[in-house]
Amino acid sequence: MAQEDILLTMQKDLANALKKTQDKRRWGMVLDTRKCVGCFACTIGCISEYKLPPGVVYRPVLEKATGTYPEVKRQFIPRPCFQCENPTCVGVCPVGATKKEPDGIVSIDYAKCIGCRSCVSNCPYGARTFDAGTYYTEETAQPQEYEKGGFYEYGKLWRRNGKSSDVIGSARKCHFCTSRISQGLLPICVTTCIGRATYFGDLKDDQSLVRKVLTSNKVYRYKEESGTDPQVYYI
Amino acid sequence: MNKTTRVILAVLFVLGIGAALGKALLWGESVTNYGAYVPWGLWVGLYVLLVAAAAGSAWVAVYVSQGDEGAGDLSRMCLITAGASLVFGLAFIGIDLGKPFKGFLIFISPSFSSKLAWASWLYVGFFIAVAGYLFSGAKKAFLYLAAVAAVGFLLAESLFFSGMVARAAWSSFLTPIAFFISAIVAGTAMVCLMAEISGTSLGKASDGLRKILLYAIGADVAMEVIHAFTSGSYFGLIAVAILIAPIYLLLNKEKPLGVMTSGLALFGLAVGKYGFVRYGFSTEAMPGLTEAFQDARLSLAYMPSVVEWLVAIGFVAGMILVADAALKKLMPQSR
Repeated sequence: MAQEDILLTMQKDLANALKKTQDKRRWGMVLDTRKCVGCFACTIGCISEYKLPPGVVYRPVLEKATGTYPEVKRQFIPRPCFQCENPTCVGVCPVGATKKEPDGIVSIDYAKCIGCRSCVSNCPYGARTFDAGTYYTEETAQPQEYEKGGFYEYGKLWRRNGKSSDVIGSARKCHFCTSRISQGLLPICVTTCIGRATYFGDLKDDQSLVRKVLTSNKVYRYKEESGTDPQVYYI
Repeated sequence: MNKTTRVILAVLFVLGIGAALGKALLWGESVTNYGAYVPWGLWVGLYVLLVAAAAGSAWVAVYVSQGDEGAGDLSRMCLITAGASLVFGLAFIGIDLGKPFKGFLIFISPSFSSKLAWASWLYVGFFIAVAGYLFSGAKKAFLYLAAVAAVGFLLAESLFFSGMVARAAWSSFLTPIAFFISAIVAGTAMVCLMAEISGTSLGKASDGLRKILLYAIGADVAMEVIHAFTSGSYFGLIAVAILIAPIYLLLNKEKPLGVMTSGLALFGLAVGKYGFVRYGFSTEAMPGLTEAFQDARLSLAYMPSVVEWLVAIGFVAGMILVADAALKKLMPQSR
């Protein structure tokens, strides 16, 4: 019998997790760098989903080359927000616009954010970017309206359509596609991953695929010494 | 201050206000050059400098209040200078915000885990104390209150920077010490500068202030050197080179504590503060991050934009003009 696509498995795990209350689940990711081919589909999918402007990127893919010729190795490292258990970005926000949600997601309230960029400065992973209010096509012959279209983040519809937009001038970051997962959809970076290198789900569910992958592999996390306790693991 | 200087400063101030309003109302962040990997630059550097100058001026006010005749006038001058410094320091951080008109939220819904929020409350306390000193009879109480508030906001601000675990160049116990030393330099130099510009005599306090400025600049130079070699960011050594000039001038007791000495001290500090802020962002958070997705705002390169320069120069000119006007208005006996 053919093995089930892991997307379908994670979709079922997601549905199970959503049956629990928010505080009973803990969203996390495992990124298998052995399977990542560096296609950047996750980066582009994310940009497309959230109509990200110039200077804002939620999920860049870093390239790492190690060794010396002829023993060389090239590795791709997708870098979402690590949704740290002890997020350094939260405490420095002077207006409480960013917080740790009960399900582990570090959220930003764009309506509250004043754009001081303290959180941007204090993220050890460079996961926060700043929305300067620019558009990719604004200085071209034909500015594209889709750049000002609506998108869903943190369960709300937002628009970047002028100076009064709450999003413009705010800090921005990956949020594991909060609005998608609340509707039972996997994060866009997970569904667009052609190598199926991204595992996502409820880390508190021992039966979930993400948990099984986490416990059955030798995993590592970035900058553990900083005490942030990131919820994104790498294989 | 002669008329020509006043006109030049006024023109610069108007240009600065125009650029600031343009940024806040029309152009937004598109006319600034900071971004995600270098999120703070020239304006934050000048904010740090002017906040330090405000704190230091308040402490100088306490110092000169211990003198004999005319001590009250000097304290008054110091506190007016401190107030003007803080107003413009906050103007820099206000215009630096992505949403300048939402800055008031820091008072309505503050997060008490943020040292920046604490600093904001202490700024308000400081303004109240300065106003109390200027317009009430309880001079001594408000003078000390202003000095304590200055210790408070500078401590909050320095702990804010030193608590940035993501920034190796700042995350050190030396950061608060450096902030307090530079506040003494900035405050003393600012008071001497404004005294010279406004024609206020420092009287017998002059010798004491000369010594304080000399020793404080010496300590500041030492801190810059330590910071350069511990953080690997050598930009601060440019500040050290500039600060040698006021040290030389201060060592020569025949030279007056004039615009040149205090101006050079402040310029050296400004360079140091800019370097401290800007080169706190000199390394990638993760190796390869700046190459992973390319954009001008996703880079470690940063040069202030024309608008950033216009606002910076304009606000500094404005600070001098406003302080001078306030001294004229509130210290008629010294003119």
